[in-house]
Amino acid sequence: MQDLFADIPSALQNTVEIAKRCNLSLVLGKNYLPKFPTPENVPLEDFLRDQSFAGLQLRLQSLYPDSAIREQKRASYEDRLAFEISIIVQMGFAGYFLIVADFINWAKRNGVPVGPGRGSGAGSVVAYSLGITDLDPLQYNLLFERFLNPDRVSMPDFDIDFCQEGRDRVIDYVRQKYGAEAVSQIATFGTMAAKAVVRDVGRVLDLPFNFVDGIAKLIPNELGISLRDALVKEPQLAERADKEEEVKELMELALRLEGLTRNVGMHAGGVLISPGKISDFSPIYCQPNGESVVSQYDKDDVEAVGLVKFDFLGLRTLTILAMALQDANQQRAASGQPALSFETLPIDDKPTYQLLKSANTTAVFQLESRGMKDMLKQAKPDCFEDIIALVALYRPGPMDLIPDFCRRKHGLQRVEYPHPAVEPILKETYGIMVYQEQVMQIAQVVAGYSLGGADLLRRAMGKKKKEEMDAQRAVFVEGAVKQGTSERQAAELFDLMERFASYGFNKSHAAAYALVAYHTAYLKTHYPAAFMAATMSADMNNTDNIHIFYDDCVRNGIEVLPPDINRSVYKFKPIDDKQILYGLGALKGSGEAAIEVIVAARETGGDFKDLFDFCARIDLRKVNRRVIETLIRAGAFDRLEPNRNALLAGVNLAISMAEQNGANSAQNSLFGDAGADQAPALPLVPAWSQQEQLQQEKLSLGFYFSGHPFTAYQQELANFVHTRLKDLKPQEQPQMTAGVVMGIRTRMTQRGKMAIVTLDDAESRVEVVIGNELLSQYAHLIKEDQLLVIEGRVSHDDFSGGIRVNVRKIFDIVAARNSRASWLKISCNGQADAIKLRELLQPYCQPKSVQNGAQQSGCAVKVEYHNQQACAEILLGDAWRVHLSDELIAGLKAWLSDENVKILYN
Amino acid sequence: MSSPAQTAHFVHLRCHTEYSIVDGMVRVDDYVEAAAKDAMPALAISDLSNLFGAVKFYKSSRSAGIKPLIACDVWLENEQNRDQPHRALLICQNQTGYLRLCELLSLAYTQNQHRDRAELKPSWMLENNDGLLMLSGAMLGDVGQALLMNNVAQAEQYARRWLDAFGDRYYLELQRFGHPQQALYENNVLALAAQLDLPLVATHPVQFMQTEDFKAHEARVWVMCWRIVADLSSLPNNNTSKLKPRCKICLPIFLVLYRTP
Repeated sequence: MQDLFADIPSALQNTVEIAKRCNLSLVLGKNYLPKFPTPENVPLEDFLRDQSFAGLQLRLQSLYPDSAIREQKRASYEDRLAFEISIIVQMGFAGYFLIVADFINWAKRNGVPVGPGRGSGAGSVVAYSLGITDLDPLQYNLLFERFLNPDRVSMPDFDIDFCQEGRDRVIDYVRQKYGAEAVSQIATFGTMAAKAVVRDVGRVLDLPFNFVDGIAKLIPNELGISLRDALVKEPQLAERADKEEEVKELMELALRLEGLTRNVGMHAGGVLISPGKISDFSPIYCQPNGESVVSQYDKDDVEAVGLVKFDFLGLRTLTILAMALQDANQQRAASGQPALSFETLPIDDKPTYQLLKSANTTAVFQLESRGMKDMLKQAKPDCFEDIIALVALYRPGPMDLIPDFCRRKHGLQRVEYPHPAVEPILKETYGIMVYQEQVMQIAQVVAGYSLGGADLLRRAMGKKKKEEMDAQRAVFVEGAVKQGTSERQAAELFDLMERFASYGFNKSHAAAYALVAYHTAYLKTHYPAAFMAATMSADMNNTDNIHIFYDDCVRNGIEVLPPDINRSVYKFKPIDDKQILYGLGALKGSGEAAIEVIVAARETGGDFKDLFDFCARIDLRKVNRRVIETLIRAGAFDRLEPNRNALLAGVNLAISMAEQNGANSAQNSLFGDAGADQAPALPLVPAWSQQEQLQQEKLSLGFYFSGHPFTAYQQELANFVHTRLKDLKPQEQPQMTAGVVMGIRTRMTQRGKMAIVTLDDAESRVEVVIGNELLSQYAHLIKEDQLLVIEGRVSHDDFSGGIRVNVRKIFDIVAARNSRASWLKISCNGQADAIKLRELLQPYCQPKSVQNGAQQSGCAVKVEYHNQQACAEILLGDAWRVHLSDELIAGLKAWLSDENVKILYN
Repeated sequence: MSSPAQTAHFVHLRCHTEYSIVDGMVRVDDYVEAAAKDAMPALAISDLSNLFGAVKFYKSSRSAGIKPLIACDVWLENEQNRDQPHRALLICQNQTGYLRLCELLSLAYTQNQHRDRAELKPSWMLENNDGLLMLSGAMLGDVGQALLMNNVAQAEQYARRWLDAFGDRYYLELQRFGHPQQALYENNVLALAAQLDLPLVATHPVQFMQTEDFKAHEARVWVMCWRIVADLSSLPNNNTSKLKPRCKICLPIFLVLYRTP
């Protein structure tokens, strides 16, 4: 640069001058809380105190309806409240609590469901009294110091769960209350991830899609994997990058671009409220239309410059709970029962715990995963504390404690306490340290820590810094000895705490989420139709999940009625406590607006009479052809016309007639007058086979609804597959079974790629394991909806407690048929057309031969001929052995009719 | 021993980091690290129309002992032709300037977006610009654009306007990376500087760090623009690229700049 501008030295010197003229110091790490407007400018502290005590009154009244008990309990609550208030005031956070309480209570008053709490905030009695949380901290031993530690000043952080749909309304409220310029959301920067960057660069280099796709797919499916890791983990990728010039160039560019910022987005939950304008702290960024206003700084930076973030998270479960409760209450109202509310739900409902013990927890919040279900079966929870513990334990690490937890709970293992003084603290978890709060309380009880000091101890243990830990150990042991514990015992206890603290869980959070879990379980137990309808309605875009929920309905004796154009609405609708009507919104390609149009047309004009009436009465600009077709495929018109194929073929006609009718309606309706008693006809086309109907249904609903594809093969399979999936039992001999592929997961192991394939035979599902070799050999067969006949070894699976099926051989139906059939028997009753027979058989001839050392041959053919006089059976020669393909069978059947073409098995 | 500040001959005032999203691929930490290695006393971040990376850059430079300059390469509305906006560089001198820059950018996004560009209205900058230094934007600035069209009168009018508003905080910018019209611009701008007695400043628009990054940079620009470069290997490693997706031309001389004498 010096050389470049040697002729104009002042231009260079000025860069240095400019640097000297600039002396910007950003103030980082200081927080600027927004101001909460109190009525009549009452000081914040006084207002917080008044509101908290008034709120506590109400809480106590509902917690302890018996006034004698209430008065007895009052002191402990009021003492804790006063203590918390003094800390909050001392730390200067009165306004923060009031702001949060204000928008949460607004949400509650305005019908936006709010979660009972989340994170450590549930440990505060002030928060409970102000309505920020809905969980009594004293009852569950939740600690305030875990949330706000007087010994360590940091911003409080309430994370608040709102119902997904209502969240934006709350943000609007906040915007209106504090001023649009004072409120914004937060930017987040997306980066170019490994796979995406490979695809992007591939596109820029104009490489063929399949080529690039092949490279991208070599990158293992791991969250946050880098290209460098991928090159190590997938030798094939490294090899290709090494050997192929194009791959090399692609990877070189991709490596340089990986991880760069790719786009600006909006942080999922963060809302900033500024004491003045947001732009006094951070510039803002927004879409060209002025929407989605975000700070230009990401969440860390925006907090660094002093803005305070409030987390407004969307939790769909809250939407489900609200919807389900509304329907449940309608059912209750119909039978004269009072409405339920979550605040007054009994927490010890036996049937609910029964549901949990039987792991019937699909769709139950936090408890629905497969591992969680296994745990529920072992743990058999029978009180709320158990649910809290399970929520806290079910994570990598503490999971190892689950077997001990269960054994101790069921009295199969002795419950031991590391120190007699900790018994009251660890009793609810059977002597096992599960929560961070327990670590804190132990430090308090055994070593005389303040809870604030104990929180610092907990943090130190979490961070595992050696010097800090040594210092803490000394303090702990000294404190414990002073309280009468031996030095050795104190050190041992400290070691134990240290071990558990690294994966101890925040009890406040676990308790709040356990409560949400309990609410969902309660509704599933008592109002299953309402609950499952709400669950499905909340997940309508994901037909895979709808399928899972549908299966769960079936298991629980809930009937899901097919979509019906004259009854269904957008959402899934519980009809009574045993029936749910399919929601039209769950059909692929149907939007909410389109469905609303249909429902409105039905409400004003009555039931639709047929497809023509339907098309004539809806606004075809809003309900387009695709929507009508998806409705037909799903069977929504079945009650008007069972032939879906004809309906689909008639869509064009119905639409054009409706359009014509619309055009004519200004003049006296031609169609309405003359055509009223002469309904137009649908094209005459044959109805679909059941198989076709199922495939079409799957296009619309995402799964087979009215039947199962397995049933079409069932009869033939019964000839040679004698073991149904449900009958598979561990044994030495390989077993043959069959099912339709419902899902495939692949996994990398030391021995290469492995697939875990879910087979379904309409009775049950079993996962089978297919190893590397078979996987590549039969890649074309291992895909969804494919019928597979497998031979495999079934063994006991120690890990899951179930069975493990290792696949040895794979056939499709044709291959299985060929390997098992003895004869193809053709009965020519009077139709002795040898030429025709030859024509049909010839293309499929497969004479005996030896290939790859194995005998390969087609199936022997027997021709039966009889006329009035005689009857003969001729076995054709080996040269006329045939491959039993579907086409051959279909061809023969078309000629001779079904019953005259038979495959015979031994 | 002399401190680096005294030996410094040049400070980088322009750098598009990866936070320019499309037009830049410098990773903030790499940038600061390279500057620290070469004992640069100060360094600027000047992303296109945003401060996305400013705090990260500020923290990173501070901890590397480098004075951070927070700047922004802004779009300036062209009142005569909105489809050909100008560019300018604003540098924060202090907290006042920083707050004004935040405000200006916020205004641009909320009130003055045109074809997906958040543009500053010149009138906003004329009104209130305390604490901000303004660099003319070289060939992409209003003065530069007028000079390239040999419209000296127009250029002078622009320059006078900024001079009146910014006083000694306004600089005419010189860039030498081999633009075909460099000579034309330079002759005109030197004359204008002499005529109005304006200070000149040398800048170089850094968009990537190493020569080898050039291809990747081009690829990235194209990635973001959803267009296809059929054969990148045909790209020359200098400024004569015909595939320039933006009017900005890049000469990969960044590393050379750091070679201290």
